[in-house]
Amino acid sequence: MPPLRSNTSALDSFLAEIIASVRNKNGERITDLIQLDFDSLSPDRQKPYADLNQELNRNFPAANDAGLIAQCKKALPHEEFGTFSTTFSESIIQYFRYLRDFTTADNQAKASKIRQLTSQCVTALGDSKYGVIMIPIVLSFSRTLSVVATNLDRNPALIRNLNSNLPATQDTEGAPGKVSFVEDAANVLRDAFIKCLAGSPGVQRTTRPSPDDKRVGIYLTANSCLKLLTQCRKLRNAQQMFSSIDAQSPPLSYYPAAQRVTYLYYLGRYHFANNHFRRAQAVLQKAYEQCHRQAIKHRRLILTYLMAANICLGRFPSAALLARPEASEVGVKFVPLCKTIQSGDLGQFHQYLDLDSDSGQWFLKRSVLLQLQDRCEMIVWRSLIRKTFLLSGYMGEEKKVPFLRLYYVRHAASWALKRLKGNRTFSAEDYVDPEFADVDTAIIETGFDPESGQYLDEYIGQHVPVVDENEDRPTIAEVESVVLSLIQQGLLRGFALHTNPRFAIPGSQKAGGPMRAGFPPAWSVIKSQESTDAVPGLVEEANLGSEGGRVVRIFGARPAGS
Amino acid sequence: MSSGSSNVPTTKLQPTQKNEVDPAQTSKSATNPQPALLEEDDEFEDFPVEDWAQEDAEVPGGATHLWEESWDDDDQNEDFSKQLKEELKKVEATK
Repeated sequence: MPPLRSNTSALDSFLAEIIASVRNKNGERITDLIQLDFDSLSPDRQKPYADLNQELNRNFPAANDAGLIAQCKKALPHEEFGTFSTTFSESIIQYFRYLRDFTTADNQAKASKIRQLTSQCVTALGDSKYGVIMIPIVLSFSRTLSVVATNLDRNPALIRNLNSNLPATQDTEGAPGKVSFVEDAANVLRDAFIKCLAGSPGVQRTTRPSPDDKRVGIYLTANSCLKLLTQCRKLRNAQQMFSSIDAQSPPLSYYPAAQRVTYLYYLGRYHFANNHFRRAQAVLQKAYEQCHRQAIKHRRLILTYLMAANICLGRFPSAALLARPEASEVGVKFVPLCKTIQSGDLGQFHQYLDLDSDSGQWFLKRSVLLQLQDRCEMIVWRSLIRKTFLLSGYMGEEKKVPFLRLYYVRHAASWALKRLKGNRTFSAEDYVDPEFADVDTAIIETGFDPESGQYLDEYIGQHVPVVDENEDRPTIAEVESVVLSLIQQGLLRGFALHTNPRFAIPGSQKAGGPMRAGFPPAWSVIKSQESTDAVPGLVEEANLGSEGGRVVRIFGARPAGS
Repeated sequence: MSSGSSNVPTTKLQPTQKNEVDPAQTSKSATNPQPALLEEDDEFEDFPVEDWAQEDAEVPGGATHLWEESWDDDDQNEDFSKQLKEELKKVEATK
């Protein structure tokens, strides 16, 4: 900010400097002028803002807001700046209000003003002639808003109060209701992203964005928005953003490393949350490989989800990977899980991923617990069946097919599940929702018939509660079902017999024995079934047609005849 | 990423010297946050530098053999296997 001349007001000088920068289309200069964080400035740079703050409070207090509006609008004549005059003067007015009130406003009010200011700047960004000036301003404010909103989210007391000041809005799924400050801020940033993605008229998609091309901000605004959506656990709302990126964005490789890695991290988490582990693994591996080697904390976070995705796909971290500094803390959690999957110890598996265990909580907090429980259980079963085969299976002879009696599997599973039961505080099968806690008593008292939903007097006192016979779990039918499911998934290779229940492995001699023939490595099976199509949300040069059109992609399609 | 490369870092992760608002600073003054209720450890923070060369991302060993694809364990002396073996003998006995 220039030294202010003594014969003009601080506001006039400030406005003049801004208008000159608009005329020169110097957005960087305006970004430098409209500071939000005065404490971080050197004392000599702080003074003009202190002067402005005093002058605004003196001449344009809240009661004279109309005067402030008039002053700003006069400085940006419509004749010269066209429609930008309205949108930009609104931005400047918002800024002066922030500047005027920040000494007296509380945290909520400040955050709210930063949100409004950013939103107004995003509107100005849409201007076809002058919008380009707003790029650095919007990018700078987007980052600020993202951090402010994240910090507010960590303090629920502040958010509750803040919500009462928010306009009644609809959430993204169209349901009426209040939107948290974080989500509301994410929506502002999404608007900024859309404006950046739209770019400038006539610019080819495959050209590298220059500093005066709105597309330069695509991944910065997307990342700020994704950060907030992750924070408020609404990452699923990012689906439309990823589709838009697929349809319009230049290749990710055109952007700086920090933006690429951050974007790949969130894209990987999105796919992981949606059970697309191959996609998650592919983009997180890229993020990990491109992340600066000294950014250990970032590498650790990427590795958390990269390991989880790989384990879901049947692949474990190697000793070389675990020896890296970023893997130490994460490895401590994942290695016992891998060992359990390897051993086939079903009981230990459930115990380790139990919601009430420390390890379960650790995975839950990182939003990977349910996926690990769900996807890895089948791999544990595969290991258990394999181990049981090794110990009790008939290995076959010439012209005799190797097989395993499923009663052995049932016994092994039942034993493994019961073995640790004394230590367990909770199991999924034992869980009863509080709403149904005393349902047996209620049925006896009221004669309610759960089958028909009716109350029948003759049923009163007749109901006999079902005693859960956990001791006999799993039943042979359940074991057969697991085996058939594993065969269907390709994790077991062979067939099952129902009468005298067995799992048999034909053709084992040619394949090098029953263990090799019947139990292909989980990773190779799962990988061969996953689509190798490009990952949605990831734009690579190779995927773009020569004319830079849409990414050609047929999701879920398999080769003809497969 | 090439394996076994011994690259000298060309970019050190130093804070960006930019004349823009430092979000971390801004948030401090703008919101005066209370002690965080949730851990900040899990937040993917902004990188202190905007760009770096690929060689600054490479580590000794590269991307070779980061994952074990064949991990089946045939060690029958491992604790779970030993106990399982004893258990399965009980099924044999009841046949």
